[in-house]
Amino acid sequence: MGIGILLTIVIVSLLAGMAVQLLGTRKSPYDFLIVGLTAAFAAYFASETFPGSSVFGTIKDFGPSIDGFYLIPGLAFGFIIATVAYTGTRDTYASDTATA
Amino acid sequence: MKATIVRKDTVIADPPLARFLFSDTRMAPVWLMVRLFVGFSWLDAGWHKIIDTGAKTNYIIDGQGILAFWQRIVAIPAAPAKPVIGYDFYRSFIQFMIENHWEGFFGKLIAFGETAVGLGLIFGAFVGIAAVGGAFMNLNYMLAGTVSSNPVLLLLGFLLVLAWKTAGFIGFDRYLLPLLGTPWRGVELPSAKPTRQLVTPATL
Repeated sequence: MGIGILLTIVIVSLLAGMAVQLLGTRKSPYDFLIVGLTAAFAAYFASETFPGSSVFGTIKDFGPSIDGFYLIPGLAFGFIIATVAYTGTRDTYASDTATA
Repeated sequence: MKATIVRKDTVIADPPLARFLFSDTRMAPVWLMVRLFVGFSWLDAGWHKIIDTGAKTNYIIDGQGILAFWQRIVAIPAAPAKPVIGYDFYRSFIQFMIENHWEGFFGKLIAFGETAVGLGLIFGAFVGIAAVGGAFMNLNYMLAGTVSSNPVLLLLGFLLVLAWKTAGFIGFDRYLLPLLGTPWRGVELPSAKPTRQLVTPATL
């Protein structure tokens, strides 16, 4: 995978995280970081390891790729893991709602 | 320098940094990424062994694959070449398993064990136990002379063991550990009747 597409993955993931931060109902200061980092990692990881692994050995074609980045496994796994991380931390970063 | 007297029932608390890294659920997303990396490595390795049905390479039919590996690593080459295994006790152990035909059992154990460790780490089920199992296999592969990705996986496995309470928070451990009695949140000790305290000369 080229460095250009890697930087693109990181930037797009952080932008997605910022969108979640702005549009999401939960207001915590770390949503963009949780979504951005986990999505970037998962997209890179899936694109690099799924093709050629024995686990997905029956899949012969992983679809289109850009500079070594397989779009379908990368985007799908990035979305899934970011969603899992966001959902899994819904209580962890909840704002303090205590009132006087 | 003041001497500190510590009672036998004293609990020594972790420093704040260690508490944040290994016991704080805010680190769960980081451990999720570590789990995925280590877990998929194990799942890939284990699944590869399960689906391999070659007469000389299989692990789960009659273990010829692991037997061939053992026979290769116990061989002692002519000097000045060095043997693959650096420790004599481990070479004797492998030789013992070859002579007693343990390849059938160990082939299945390794193939299904690696797969189970991978699934446990990926889904966050009993992460601490899975990480210990993975680290133990890494140790054995390195003792057998195989470096590959084992040092990295061993290091990450150690970190997952340290973070066993929170590494699976984004996963099944969030529900499994409380069922087994592990609290996710700290239990406050009653302040009126302290049962554990650090005793220093100032308090005597």
